[in-house]
Amino acid sequence: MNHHSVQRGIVRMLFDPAFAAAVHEAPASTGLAPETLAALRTIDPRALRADPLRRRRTFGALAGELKASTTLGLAESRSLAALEAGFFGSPEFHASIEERTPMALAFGRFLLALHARGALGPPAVADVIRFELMQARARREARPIEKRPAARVVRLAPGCVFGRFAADVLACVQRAEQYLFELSLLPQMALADDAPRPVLPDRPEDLGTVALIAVPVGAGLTVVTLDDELAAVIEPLAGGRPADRRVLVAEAGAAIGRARAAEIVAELVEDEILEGLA
Amino acid sequence: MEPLEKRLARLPRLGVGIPTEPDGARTGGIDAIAFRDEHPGLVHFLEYGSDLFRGVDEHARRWTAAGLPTTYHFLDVNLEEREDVDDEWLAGTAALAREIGAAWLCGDAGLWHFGPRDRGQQILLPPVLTRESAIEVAEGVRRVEEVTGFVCLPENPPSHFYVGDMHILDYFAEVSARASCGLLLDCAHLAIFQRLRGLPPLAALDGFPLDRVVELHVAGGTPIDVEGLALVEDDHSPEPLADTFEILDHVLARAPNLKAIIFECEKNSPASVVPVFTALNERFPSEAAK
Repeated sequence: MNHHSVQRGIVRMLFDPAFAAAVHEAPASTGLAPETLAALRTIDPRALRADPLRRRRTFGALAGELKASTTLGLAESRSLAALEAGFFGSPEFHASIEERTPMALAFGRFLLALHARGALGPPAVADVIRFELMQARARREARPIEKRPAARVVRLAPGCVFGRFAADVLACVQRAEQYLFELSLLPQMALADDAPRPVLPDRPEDLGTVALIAVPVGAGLTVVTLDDELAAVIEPLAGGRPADRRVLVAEAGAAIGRARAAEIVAELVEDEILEGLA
Repeated sequence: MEPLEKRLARLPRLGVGIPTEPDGARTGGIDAIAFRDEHPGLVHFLEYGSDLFRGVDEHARRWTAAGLPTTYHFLDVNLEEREDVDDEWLAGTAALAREIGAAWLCGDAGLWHFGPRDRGQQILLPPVLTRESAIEVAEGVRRVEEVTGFVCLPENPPSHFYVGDMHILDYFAEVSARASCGLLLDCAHLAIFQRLRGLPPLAALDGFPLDRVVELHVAGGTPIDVEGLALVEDDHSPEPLADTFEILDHVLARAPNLKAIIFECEKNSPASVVPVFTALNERFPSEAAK
């Protein structure tokens, strides 16, 4: 018996009642090895239900980090079950348990998938989810680096995460935050049919995009809006791809001039926004 | 590493203590210093439970500044997962333990979080009671001791269910044998296990290395019914089950290296926990009281 497989199975059963039922009623659907299934079946199903607030507490932690996404998601879907039970029953959740990856990132991916299926309203909501996912990634990837000013290969430093969004993404996040602030003044009003709801700003036809980067600062995070020059250098490195410095300078230089591109690369390496690899 | 007997002999006898966690005293829990002042002779050490994220709080600092003994109880490492006992956790935990002058490290052995150590992913699960799991926990304990320099006492966790064929005492006996480590026996958690398995409170204690028990925990528990299933909630209420005291008294008479007993009661009113603290001190006087 692989005890790690058993523990992962237990966690999945604790959070997903349908999975817990499948262990007994449809074991082949679980994809688990026979020895793991045999071990999980020794658990009295009632014992898994002894803490009825477990999922709510954990969902609360996820909602606390992807705050605007959850707020707008609930506003658009009008269904707690769609998000809470939906997430814990989702392939994204189960994969995060089996692959031992951060649940918050899985939650963001779940919300994007839900949006792609048309369940979470306008495109602005997807931008908000991607924005908060960018920050969630940055928090988890940040780590100290060794400064190599003369490095010939560079990439975005760990914890520095780039994203390009519709230009109203920050305004949409602010609308969600404003709603939550009002709700905090009188939480009970959420029960009223005439209670205020989050309202996204009107989106003009020629909205355009904004380039942002999340950067670790001390124990926290800051989000910086990039002007065209900085975006020209940083955007090619999105996704963590390393790049030959000369190639990066040439590529960015096509838009902003090679000398300026080289200067910016040097500054970003000095500021540890870029990591020199070799 | 030095023989276990020597390492355990060097540990101080702390007597009876009280646990706390970050912000526990500030948010309505018992303030250990105030309790000690109001009820002299009942609380002799503080067991500070924390994790890398929350660190040391003001309450623990006040206790430490008064020159009083402490131990450090980790809340954030999966001893059952060798990859989780990583360098960052070891260095950070050792630093926290040194900051409060901890006499040793201790904590439930199993899972304190599912997946990576990350917000929202806290859980407390007992280990899977198999020999392979015990081997991995033993590896984790050895690594903690070798890297941090602290004695590390694995503890038997509470649960509403246990998976695996081994008795939990046999499991931790295996851990101790393989890691050559001391043990923290939680009498309340053991009482819960015995009830779940339909066993008497003292079952399997005859095969357990009581000479390696350094610390005992005592705590209140409340019987609950979940859809007809009889369980015990490890809620740290003021009154331990009779089973818990039966286990405690059995072990007290047979654990020559016992150094400390914790009464996990920190969320109750001070007055409600005085009787059990009194009873524990009568059973296990501090070094000063001896």
